[in-house]
Amino acid sequence: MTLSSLVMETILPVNGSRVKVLNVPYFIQSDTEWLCLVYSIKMVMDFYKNIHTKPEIRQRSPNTTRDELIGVTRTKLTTGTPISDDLILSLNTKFPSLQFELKETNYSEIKQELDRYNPVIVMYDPTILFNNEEGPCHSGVVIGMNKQLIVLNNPWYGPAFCVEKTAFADAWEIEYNRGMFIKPNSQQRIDADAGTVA
Amino acid sequence: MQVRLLESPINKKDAQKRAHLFVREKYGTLPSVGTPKIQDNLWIIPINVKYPRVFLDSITNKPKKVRYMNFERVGEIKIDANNGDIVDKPRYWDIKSEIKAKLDFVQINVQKALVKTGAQNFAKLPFSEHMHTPIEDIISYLLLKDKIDLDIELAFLSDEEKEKYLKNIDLLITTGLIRKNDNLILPDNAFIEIEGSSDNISTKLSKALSYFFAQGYDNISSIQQVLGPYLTISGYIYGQSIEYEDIIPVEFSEIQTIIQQSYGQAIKQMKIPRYLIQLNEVGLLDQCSTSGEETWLPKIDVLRNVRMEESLLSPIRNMFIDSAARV
Repeated sequence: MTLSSLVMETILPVNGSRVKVLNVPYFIQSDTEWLCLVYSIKMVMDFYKNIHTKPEIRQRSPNTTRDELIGVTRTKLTTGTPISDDLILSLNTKFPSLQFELKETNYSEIKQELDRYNPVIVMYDPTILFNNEEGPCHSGVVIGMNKQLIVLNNPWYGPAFCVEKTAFADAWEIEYNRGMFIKPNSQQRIDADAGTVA
Repeated sequence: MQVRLLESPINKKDAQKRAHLFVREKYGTLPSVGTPKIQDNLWIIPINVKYPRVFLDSITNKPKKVRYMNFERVGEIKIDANNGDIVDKPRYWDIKSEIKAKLDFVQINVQKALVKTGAQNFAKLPFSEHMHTPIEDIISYLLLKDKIDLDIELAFLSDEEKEKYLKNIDLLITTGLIRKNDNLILPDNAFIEIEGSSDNISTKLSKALSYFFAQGYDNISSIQQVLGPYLTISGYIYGQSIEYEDIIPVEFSEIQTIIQQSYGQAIKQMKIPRYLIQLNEVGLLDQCSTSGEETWLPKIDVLRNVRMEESLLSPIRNMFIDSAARV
């Protein structure tokens, strides 16, 4: 695996230090479409499809579009994406070469996944982050992390958006520390799910 | 003797989490839950919405300003404190329509403030380009014929048309432009004042319309019938600058989207450039170029006056929560 294309260094605006982040493509959402989770999923899927250096992962990963993901996730433009086990079932059924999982998680689990070159989507409350009061749920893709900071591809606030972990913890906790893990499935697993393995 | 009260099997924290996960599962990422309160063995949890508005910088495409509109209690969830069952909840469509009603409230109040303040400007729009409505018919008729005999003039109209005219007559009566005497419609004081000036007939019509806009702004749906896309476009452009408390240039493509959402007619798309030029001519919009894109923005003097319409804008200002975008 050539790490140079999978991982890049970014300079953090907070203290000018450098941190390694995954080279995850970025998509921006517009003002009035609540598609943060849709764009976050697309960022991760496009990372596996177009950026990942393992050819088998790139080949097996599906191409998808924003509109297809809106349909699969049953996202409504006015109220966002319903987050439930049904959402995960729907994604796993539609994209069997990837494994989707929704769960309460923590920084160390996310760090482990980043070390395996798997970006993780986190759900948090940006109003807590900025105004210290409860607001909507927002999603972003964690692409890097160090002791002090978490780095997100945030569909609103831009690529490589840095937040102090202590501040982010409050915004994340109010959404019960939920994260969506998306990992490439092994070929055996795909075949087993499809019933082709005896 | 010590009495030990049994704690409810479902405590406040559990109830809030259950409601939160239910909201995320059924209603999506936008609504949130408030603080649970217990009443008659039921946890009652409000559903609130902080509706984000993000103004993107056209050069960096990053948020320049983020604001949240605060829509409180768009619904509530009731949870049985003994067993945790959700016993009452709004339908998804109830939540969606509540949010839409709040958003409409914001837009309507901006339009009212704009019509009240910019009445003279709107009235200068070329007469032939106004939407054809009973309001202008009635004013024009009175300018030329002095009175309308309802028994005669409305006799040949369909019931639907007749009702439309009568409704607009009632509206004009409330503004003091006309009055009714049995079946006769006659000019009232304000109309007589306008009519008595030395202006030509089209200026008199324009002044009467201006008076109607300024006095009748509260009945914005009737004014929308007269001004149609002119009000839709200018209301949206002024709304952006009022929401973000800044001068916000609006791109042509955004205006196309608004017209498409409001009218859904291809023909209106063709007319947008003309509407914009005419709104510019009457002093309601300015044009500028931002990063090579043609954009449209409010006239600063009109915007300043619109912002001073406290009675109309303070209810919606209270909905906005500022947030510094950290990028």
